[in-house]
Amino acid sequence: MSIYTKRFISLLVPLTAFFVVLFIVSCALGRYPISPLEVARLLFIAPFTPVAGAPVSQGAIVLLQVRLPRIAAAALIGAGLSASGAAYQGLFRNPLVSPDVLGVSAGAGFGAALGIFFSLGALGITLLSFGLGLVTALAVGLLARRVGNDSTLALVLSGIMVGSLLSSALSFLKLVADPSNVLPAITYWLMGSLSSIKQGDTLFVLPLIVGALVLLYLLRWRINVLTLGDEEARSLGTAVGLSRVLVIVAATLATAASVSVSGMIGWVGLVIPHFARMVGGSDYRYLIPLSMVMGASYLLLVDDLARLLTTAEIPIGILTSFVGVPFFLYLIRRGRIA
Amino acid sequence: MKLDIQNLSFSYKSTEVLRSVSFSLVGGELVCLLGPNGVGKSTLFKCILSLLRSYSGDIVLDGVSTRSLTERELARSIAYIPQAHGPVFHYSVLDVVLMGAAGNHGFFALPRAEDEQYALAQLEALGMADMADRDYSLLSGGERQLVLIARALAQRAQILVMDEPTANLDYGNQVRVMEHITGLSRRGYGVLLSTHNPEHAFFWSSRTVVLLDGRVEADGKSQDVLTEGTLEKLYGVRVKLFPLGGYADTAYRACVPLGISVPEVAR
Repeated sequence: MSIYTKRFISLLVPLTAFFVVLFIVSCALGRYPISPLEVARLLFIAPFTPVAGAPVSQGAIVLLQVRLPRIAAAALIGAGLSASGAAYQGLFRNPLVSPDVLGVSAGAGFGAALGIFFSLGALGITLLSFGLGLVTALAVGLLARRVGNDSTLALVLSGIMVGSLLSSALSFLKLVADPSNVLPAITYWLMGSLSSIKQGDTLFVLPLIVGALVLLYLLRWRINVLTLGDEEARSLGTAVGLSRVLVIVAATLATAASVSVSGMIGWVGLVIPHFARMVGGSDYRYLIPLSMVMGASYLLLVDDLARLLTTAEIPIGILTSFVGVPFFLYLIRRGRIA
Repeated sequence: MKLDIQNLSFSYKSTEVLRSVSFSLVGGELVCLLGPNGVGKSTLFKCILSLLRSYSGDIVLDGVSTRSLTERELARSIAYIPQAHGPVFHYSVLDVVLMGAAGNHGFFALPRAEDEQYALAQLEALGMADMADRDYSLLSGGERQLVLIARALAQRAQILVMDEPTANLDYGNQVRVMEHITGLSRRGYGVLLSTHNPEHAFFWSSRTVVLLDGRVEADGKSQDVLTEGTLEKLYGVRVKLFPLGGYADTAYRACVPLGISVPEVAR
């Protein structure tokens, strides 16, 4: 067995086990009590042993139609934002970069606000948000090619420019929005929340995020080589252009899909990769899968708090900032961010 | 393996940097490239590595033009050893050496157990077997340079191109790194390295190529090529060369600048 395989197993098996337990416990938690054993039975046994004509229990309805879509979405979004954060950090060779660098979040946020403004309904809002997120990333990419020689700097600068343009557009939309119902809806959405996620939303983002995650997982060794810089990576035998494009597409897809259903959930993509580096080092062969598992667990945990802490839900974006920012400051103080 | 550079010319916009440069390098040779700052050494390396492709002339590897090779194919023949650098992220020494295997397998493939063994063997050959688990970014400049050499060996290329491998190293590390590089050329690797120290060329190279104004000014044995006149022309400094007869080889020279102002107290 290679050194890599041994380390991979020792790092990922315990954390994945923790995630699975957390997933089942999260399904059990809530206003309507379902025991963890019942959850495990409903999730892992019942679908494979269908009993014809058996009545569907109330627990099954609550679990499968209400709780599961939201919990699955939390895990997917956590994994997606964290893995794309780690990927962007490697690609831009900057550990302080987050999934919003390319203006994806700003584009997706503006798209959602536009959808709410025109009362397009849940699916319309999600689609418009996802579409504008991708279009923004594409526009930033094209703009950067015309800006200058240093591709990384050009990309980051273009991302900041387009992002701030879009947030101005968003402010304008809020200014003209009806303050009695539309404005609060936009504001609440921008805070980031998983409370309004429906089965349809989860089924929409599932293939997108899973696809992006599979691609990032397959590319994780290439990202290692890309962090050395374009010239060195090429001299080591890597097709740099193709690798870069694939990593950007995958990370952007995961970010846009996440933001389109959950709103702005900040800090996950920045904090989790650093946390994962503390656990497993900088090697992307471990960092990408670790970021996925830890990101999924983290967002699941924070969403449980958001659901259960108070009777009125706290938007998860607020909680991730409350947890993320102090943790990040702690990391800086400890000197763990080089 | 033979690397043949034929009539290579390159211009940045309207500035001509390289003007029909021709020389060759075979396995077992250690060729030093000497020339003042900005003479086009880095440009030459970038052309050899296909990082710049808009040159005229040709670069031929065992009869095959490098223009027709993919990144992976080229990486299997020519390895590049940059100046020791600090990466953004903390990789272990073994991780860095393993990256030499980036061109070995498919696009999505990871390095395999045999790549790990091969990487460890390269570290051992350079006397760094016990460093495999150390954090690369915390090593000294000399150690980093050796790790990058191990990475180039893990690439299994036969030709090594080094950009000032001794820059930023202390005196002892310069000697140690150059000794290791000489050992590699004895093992059959073809080495092309740039240096700013004429003594390195005298002590370690089997041949020296002098680059001036984008042209090959001279190409041959160091003691023939590097005369006091050539060095003054290259660097604009008058020097005296002292043959070190009796020390190992009569071809060795010490290079001392003339007309330097020695502090009063030292006289």
